[in-house]
Amino acid sequence: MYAYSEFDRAFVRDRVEQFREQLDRRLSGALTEDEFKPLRLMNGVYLQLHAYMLRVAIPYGTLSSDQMRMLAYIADRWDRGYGHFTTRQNIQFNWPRLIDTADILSALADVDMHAIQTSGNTIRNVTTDQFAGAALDEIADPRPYAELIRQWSTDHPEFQFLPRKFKIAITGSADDRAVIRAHDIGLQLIDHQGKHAFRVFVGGGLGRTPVIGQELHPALPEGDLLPYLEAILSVYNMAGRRDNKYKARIKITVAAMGVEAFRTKVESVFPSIKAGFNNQVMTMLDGLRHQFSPPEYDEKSREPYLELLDTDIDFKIWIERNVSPHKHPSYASVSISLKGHGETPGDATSEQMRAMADVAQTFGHDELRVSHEQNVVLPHVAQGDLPEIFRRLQKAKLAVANIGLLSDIIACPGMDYCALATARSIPVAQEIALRYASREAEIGFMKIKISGCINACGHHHVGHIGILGLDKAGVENYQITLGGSAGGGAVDAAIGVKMGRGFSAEELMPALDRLIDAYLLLRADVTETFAELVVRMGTQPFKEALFVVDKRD
Amino acid sequence: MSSISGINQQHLNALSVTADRLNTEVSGLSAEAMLSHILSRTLGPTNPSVVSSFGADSAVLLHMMSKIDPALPVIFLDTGFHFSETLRYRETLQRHLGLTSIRVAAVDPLTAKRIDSGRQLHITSPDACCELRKVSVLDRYLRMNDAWITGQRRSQSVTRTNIHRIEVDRARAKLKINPLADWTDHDIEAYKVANALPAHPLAKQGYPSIGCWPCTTPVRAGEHARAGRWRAEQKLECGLHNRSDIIATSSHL
Repeated sequence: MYAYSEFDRAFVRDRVEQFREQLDRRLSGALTEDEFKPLRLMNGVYLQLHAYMLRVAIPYGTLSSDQMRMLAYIADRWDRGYGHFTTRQNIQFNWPRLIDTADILSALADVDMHAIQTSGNTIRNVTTDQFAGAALDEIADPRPYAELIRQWSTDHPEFQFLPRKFKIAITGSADDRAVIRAHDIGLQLIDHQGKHAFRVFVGGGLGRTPVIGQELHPALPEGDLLPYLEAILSVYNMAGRRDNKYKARIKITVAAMGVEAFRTKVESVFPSIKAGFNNQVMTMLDGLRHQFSPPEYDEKSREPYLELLDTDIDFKIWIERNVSPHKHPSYASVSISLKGHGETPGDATSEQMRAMADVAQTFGHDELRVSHEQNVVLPHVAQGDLPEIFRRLQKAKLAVANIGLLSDIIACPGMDYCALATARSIPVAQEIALRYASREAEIGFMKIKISGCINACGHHHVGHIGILGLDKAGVENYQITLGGSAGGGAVDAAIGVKMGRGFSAEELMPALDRLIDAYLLLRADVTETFAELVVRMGTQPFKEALFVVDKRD
Repeated sequence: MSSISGINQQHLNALSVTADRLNTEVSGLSAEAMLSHILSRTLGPTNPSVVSSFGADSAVLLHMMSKIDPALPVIFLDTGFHFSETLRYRETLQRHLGLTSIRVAAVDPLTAKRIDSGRQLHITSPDACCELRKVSVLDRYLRMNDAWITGQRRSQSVTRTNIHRIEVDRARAKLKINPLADWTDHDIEAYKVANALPAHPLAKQGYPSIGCWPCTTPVRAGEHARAGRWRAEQKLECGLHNRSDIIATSSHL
């Protein structure tokens, strides 16, 4: 893992003390809320529907067990005993008192963490594959690049006041687990003539205007990464709209001028920016790669794992669904589901955080990851330790075997927390998970994603089944989209298509029943997933299934 | 192949002596009497397992075995690609013959995902797929046994014309017992009729030899029984029985 330098530590400390003074002035009344708002947002402090919310950065989703324990401590001491892991691989605390926020940031600084650039119109946390450094199929660990981008973008003077927030995702595998095509910039590491390079995608995004990112560069040499990103950002910074918040994201800029014209502008400023970098990128990268070297693998016997498979069917099912192969043949990566049936997707109690930290420390080379699908991953565990890991996770109610199944839902906080929400999404996710708990194995691979407003934090546009909660004359109304995909696997990234009128909260579950029954009836065999069937047959049969009741009436 | 390493010559020599002795002892005995002799556990292997595909002819050996010891372990290699008819037939025979220790053996999920996450290996490399889902699995599941009992016969295939009733499986350092080695197709059919054994549902549909569904096709009139296996490939065996140069009778040791 990346270890903070003295510079990093002093920088974060300074920011905490700066914020503490700002907070004191707010509490004394010297600053108005309007004056204080931009200052708190620079430190991840939001004001939500019922309370303040603190969003803590987890760079590219990587945590040590000490850091996880500190999150548990914060949850207990200053919040309500839990935290919420987000689709941007961060964590949010939903109930901090404003007066405590500087102390929380100070506690975070003790374990080299912060909340800088988790809000505001800046470059946000760079996200990546939760299996980075462990994945069997990756070209190389993408995290050194992610850390490089973090260092470059943190407090970058030119990019603190962009037209709008800016999100970068990077994958080291062709099988994209980081939804790179739905980011302002998506980076796919490739092997280009024996060297590392990037396919660069630009202008992707969800929100009220969903767009799949377009390719800007087919094979950018790794040494050009930062100057090229800086070129994109500087073009966007100048050309992006500041008159209308809803037209300010780079996807609108790129769509308005066309990707060709955008590329021409980027390429025109690139040479001078590159000259300014003075070839430092490769030197920095070489330094960073050392910080992300693989763990010292234990050559343990796989036998305990193989033996338990024969006698414990629950263990076997958990392995099949939640455990992934690793680049080391006797290792594996464990996905810990935070999607217990009836629970809030992405929430973990302090007790669960400590249990995960303990398992990571004892069996997982002290490393944890947060996935964009709001689960936690132990990237490096010996297969021989899987029985004991399973036992401990079971004890902490963290061994739910539903990764990739229907109940592994992404849901935004919705009306339960969010000031922008127009409908509830967590209760909908809970109801769906409980409703299909006994059938989800039969239904198979399925991504349901739920947003409680058109800002699409719940990624509904790229859900195989997307659910968007709207407000229709004071009544919750849920619109269904089909054909969406986050990319990776068998179905390319795609934006889902609206299926006509929405459903009331009461109508929604029967509508989903009809959709799923239609899938089970129409699929060629059990191996054809819902997403594949929609690609093969289109959405029409599902539209008919959804609205069959209307026809009969 | 993990099982090949660590086998010492002394052990193989001892197995070879046992095989020679057993071959002499069972010479002239019927298949049933031979199996009875082997399973007496006094002179032969102490801990044998039957390996069965629950295919078209499997009922014969299983029936013989069930008359002697229905609790004898029967290993079924579950490749995840069996015809549903085969899985149903396994249950039918289990009930009909009163088999009490069928062990369903499958490759562990992590190895399967590691080598064939897309489940396309049966197309790109049938040999590698058999190795992953059958051969390596049998290696592991036989590790506690000192012998395995199979239903293979000389008349099944050109690849099986040299098999003996008692052999040494050198790769796995086990005895390999083939009670039906010299049975003809006619013997098999007659036994099934005489003992009123349930038929595999696919046997009547032109499948005299049944493996995994992606690699098994029906056989036309005039073709040999295994012609429907890996039809598009130059492949007649999955590798359980015929790892080249590793299965041999004592005389080849």
